[in-house]
Order: sequence, then structure tokens, then C-alpha cells
Amino acid sequence: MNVFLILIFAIHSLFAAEVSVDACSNKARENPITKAFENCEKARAVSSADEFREYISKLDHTGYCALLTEPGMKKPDALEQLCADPNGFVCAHKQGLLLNSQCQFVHLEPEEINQTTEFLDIGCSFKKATQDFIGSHQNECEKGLTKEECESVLKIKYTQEINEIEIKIAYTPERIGRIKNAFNRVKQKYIQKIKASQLISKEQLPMILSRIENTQIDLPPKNTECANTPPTGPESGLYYHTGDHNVHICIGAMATLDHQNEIDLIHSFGHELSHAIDPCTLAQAFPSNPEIGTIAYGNLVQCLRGGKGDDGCTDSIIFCNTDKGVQEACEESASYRDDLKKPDSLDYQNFVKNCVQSKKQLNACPIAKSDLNLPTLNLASYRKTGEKISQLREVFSDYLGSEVAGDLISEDVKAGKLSRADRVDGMTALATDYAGLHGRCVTENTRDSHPAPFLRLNRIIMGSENFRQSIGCENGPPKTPGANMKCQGL
Amino acid sequence: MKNKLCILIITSIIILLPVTSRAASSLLPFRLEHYIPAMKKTIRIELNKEDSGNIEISYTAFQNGESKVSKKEFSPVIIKELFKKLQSNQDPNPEKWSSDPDCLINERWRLEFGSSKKEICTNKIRTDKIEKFQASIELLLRQ
Repeated sequence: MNVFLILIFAIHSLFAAEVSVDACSNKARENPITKAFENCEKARAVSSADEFREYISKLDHTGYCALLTEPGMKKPDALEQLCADPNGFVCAHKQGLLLNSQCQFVHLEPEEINQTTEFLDIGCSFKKATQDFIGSHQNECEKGLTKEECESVLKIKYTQEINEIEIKIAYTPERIGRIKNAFNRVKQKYIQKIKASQLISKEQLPMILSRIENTQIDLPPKNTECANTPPTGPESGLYYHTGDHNVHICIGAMATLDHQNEIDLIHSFGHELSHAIDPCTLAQAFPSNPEIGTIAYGNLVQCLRGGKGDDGCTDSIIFCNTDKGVQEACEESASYRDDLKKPDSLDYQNFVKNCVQSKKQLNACPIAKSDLNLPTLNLASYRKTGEKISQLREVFSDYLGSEVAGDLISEDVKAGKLSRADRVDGMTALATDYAGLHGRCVTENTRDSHPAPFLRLNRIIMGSENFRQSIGCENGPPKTPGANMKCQGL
Repeated sequence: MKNKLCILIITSIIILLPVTSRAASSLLPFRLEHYIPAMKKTIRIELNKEDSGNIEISYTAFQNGESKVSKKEFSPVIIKELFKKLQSNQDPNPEKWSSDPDCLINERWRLEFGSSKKEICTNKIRTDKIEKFQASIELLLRQ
């Protein structure tokens, strides 16, 4: 077998274990994720087959596998398999814990990011810098305080200054430069595509264009809620914030940027920028015209959902809200209100009635009772109980993000910057990233506002003809269950 | 002389401790819940007085139906400093808050302290101040 897929018995409980070792110690670096990256890098660098096998064997014990080829062996071409079923391809390899041939992999949970060399280095530098900062202010402490008490008092007094130290260490000019470059490329391409779009209604086009033009990236972070590390570990995501209309990057994502593939990064920004104009965001921005987000994109919404009826919700593949779900969400909302009395009171019932009326207009937004057991800190977590919930805004962003990313990838291919092997690596990185999100490698759609990964990858992302062609997929969309989508491009 | 010094120290402790403790204790037990939609994350911060006289801060984030907790005990003097962040912001014009977007009364924030259960703005504590308070607690509890 030419492709060495190093499949390891992933012991996730190892990652979940409480890690309180000193970030500056060598012991902290004795962990599966650091070893996986380290041995993958060594294996790809050696020219002797024996040495290669030795590192592969070590990698084998970390919980991850890698798409590497033994020196002297012919490199296999996995593109056709990736094109036919990207989710299936990566999930067949240790549930997607698969590093590509450049040892890139960014789908890391907080406990795993905590263990990466990059994050440990940030933690170690931060610890030293904090000690220096506190030492220089020690004379401000009242007499009689212990050293520990003085430290705590200064941490309270100078929280903002100390947090800024951590941000400065993690958000380096190099990392910010790479991110801004990728973000601006995506944004400019997006603007160009909207201007020439045959999909977007002419009436709404100026408004949609201006929303993309006004979306910025919050770097260096000023209003990013996850730019520092809370006691429970770093966040790893990037997200579009509907409050300030900007894209934000968490400290964990920044720390692991060196392991991120450029195609995956570009696609991520395409997705996040799309949230600025997704049907739900538009419905919320124009409450007097909640249908605006559906009308603006012709029949795209129905096509993405894949069901019958005007809205595409009947027997749809991508889920919509249900009446029962909206009712439950409004009752839940009412239960949080201290000013409303018991459920049988008139004011309570009026609140629920009005809520149901207004929320039913927002079919593009996910509305249902929340899952109190949702594991919120875990990327792979997903809503498991309750009624089906609208998944439109996520699939819309996946699709339009793919349309824009496709153009940029094609440009890079034409300019000779991306070889076929680079595209295999890009697709592998993107697929492993998605396969682990909100239901790692599940085989049925879920009750989460994000559809199951097999639908996002195989139906929506690979449903973009523009994206498929840029990668080099020549046999049409995947034919796996729920896939084979053919919608109009941007 | 040695005995007099001892008595002086003990008296000082007796006089000073209640003053320090009272400042911190008036807001105890304290419980803050904050839902961050962008992160889909709920944080719960609780401060409770221990038999030792110290105050335990517990910081909880929800994961997989189980609570992921970080806890640490602090002396009243630290808690006093912490509460200064909340108490130093009494705004003389609370009526203007109704139009202030920073003054959110919704499901994102739940706050209980002392013997009463009230919401943030009715207690004259603005959300930006609570965020600073939360940030200090997060820093204090880090490894």
C-alpha cells in the first residue's frame, strides 16, 4: 500500500485529562498532538525508508494518521476519491484524524490546542511576561499582603493590560499578516463576483454588496470575545459576529495557524463573509421584510434545502424549523422572563403568541428549544434533542463561500501556485476540518443548526461547480446520499 | 512588651477582619451566568463563603452535559478588590440606560447576589463592567 495511513487508537480521554503542567516544561510537550505533528514532520523530511517507517511507527502511537508516502514509492493520487466522497474519504481514516501530506491539521478541540507546541510557547511566554509585569508593580501593593495576594490584587487591577500581553504574544504580526492577506483576497473576490452576479436580484444587489464591503476583520483583536484564554482552555474558532458585523478569530485558531492549509483558510473566510449576507442575517437586519433573504437569491434557498414547495422545506434534505419547535422556543423564552407570571397568565400567553407570530416569519433562522446538554466547548458537539431546526444560514454560507474560494483556487492553479498534489492536500485539510464539526463523521443529519458534515461537504461544498472545477473534480457532484446537488452559482 | 504586641496584633485582626469581610460578604452568595451567542457558550461564575472565611470562586463552562469547573479559594481582601470593579460604577443617571445598548436585559445575562435576585441594569451595573469583572476572574483562575 503506497499511502501510509497511520491509524492509531485515538484515546480522546487522554486529551480530556486535566493538564496542569507548566507550559514552559518539556513534560508539557510530551503529549499526543505535539508528537503527531513532530513525527509527521520528521517522516516527510527523511529520505531513508527505514527512518520513515520508524517515525511512522511513532506517529502510530499518537492517535492520528497521516497521508504520507514512503521515500522511493510512487505518490498515490487521492483526488478522485476526494472528489467522489470527501467526507467518506477522511472519515474512513480514523474518523477524520488525518494529517495531510504537509502535516497540516487544524481541527483541534480546546484540550488539544492546549497541548500544541505553538500554544505552549504562547503560554510560557505569557507566564514569564506576566511575572515581569507584576514584579514591576509590586510596590503598589498594600503592606501586609502575602506575595500571592499581592499578585492577585495586581491581576485584578491590571486585567486589561495583562490580557493585552497575551494577545500581543499570540497575535503576531506574521500571523495577522497572513490572515489579513487571505481575508482581503476573499473579500475583493466576493465583491467582484457580486457585481457580476446573475443570481442576486438587481434590486437587492447594492445592499448586499455594501454589507460585504463593510465587513472587516477584527485584527489585532479589539472586540473578540475569545482573544484570551479562559480557565477552561482556548477557543479555536473563527466567526462572523452579527453584532458588530465583523469576522473574529479566537486565540486557539491564531496559535495553530501554522498548521492550517491555505485552501481551508480561504474557504473559511468565504464562509464567514457569507454570513454577512445570509438569508437569516438579512431577515434580522430588515425585520419589516423578513423574506428579503430568500427573495434576493432567486431559487437558491429552495435548491439548497432540496425539498418541495415554495420554500423547499417539504421532505427537505437540509432541515427547516417546525411549528412545534417555534412554539417550544417561545415558551422557553417566556420562562426566562422574570416579569412574566405563571404560564397560565394572560401576559405570559400573549408573550408566547406574539413571539410565535414573529418567529414564524424567520424561517431562514434557526429557531427551536435549546439543548441544555449541548457540549458547547467542543467543536464536534451538536444539538441532539428537540425539533428539527433551520440549517439554511450555514449551508448558504458553505455554498457561497465555496463559490468564491473556487475562483481564488482557480486563479492560483492558473498562476502555477497550486499543483494537483497541493489541491489534494487542500481538499484533505478542508474535509478533515468539516468532518469533525458538529457531529464527527455521523451518517444521518442532526438536529443541529449546522447540517451533518457529510451533507456540508458532499452536498453543499461539492455542489458548487465552481469549487469542484477549481479542485480538479471532473465527474460532477458526489452521488452519495443527500448529495448530487445542482444549484445556480453566484 | 512581647505580650502587648501580641494583643495589639490580635485586636487589629479582630477589628480589621469584619470590615474586610463585610465589604465582600454583602454581595455573597454571588452567581453570574453569561451566554455568549457567538461562541455558543455558557459561563457560570459563583462566589461562596467557605467555613475557613475564604471565598471560593468557581468558574463553570458547560461541556457534554457535564460541568467543566475551575475552582480556587481567595482571601476576603482579594474579593474586596474584585467587587470594586462592580461597585465603582454606580451611574447617577440610570434612566438613560433604557436606550443604552450596553445595558442588556435579556436571556444572555443572569445575575444573583446577596439575598436578592435582580437583573443587571436594575442594579445599576452595566454589562461592560460585568465583562471586566468576568475578565478579572478568568485571569485569576488561570493556571
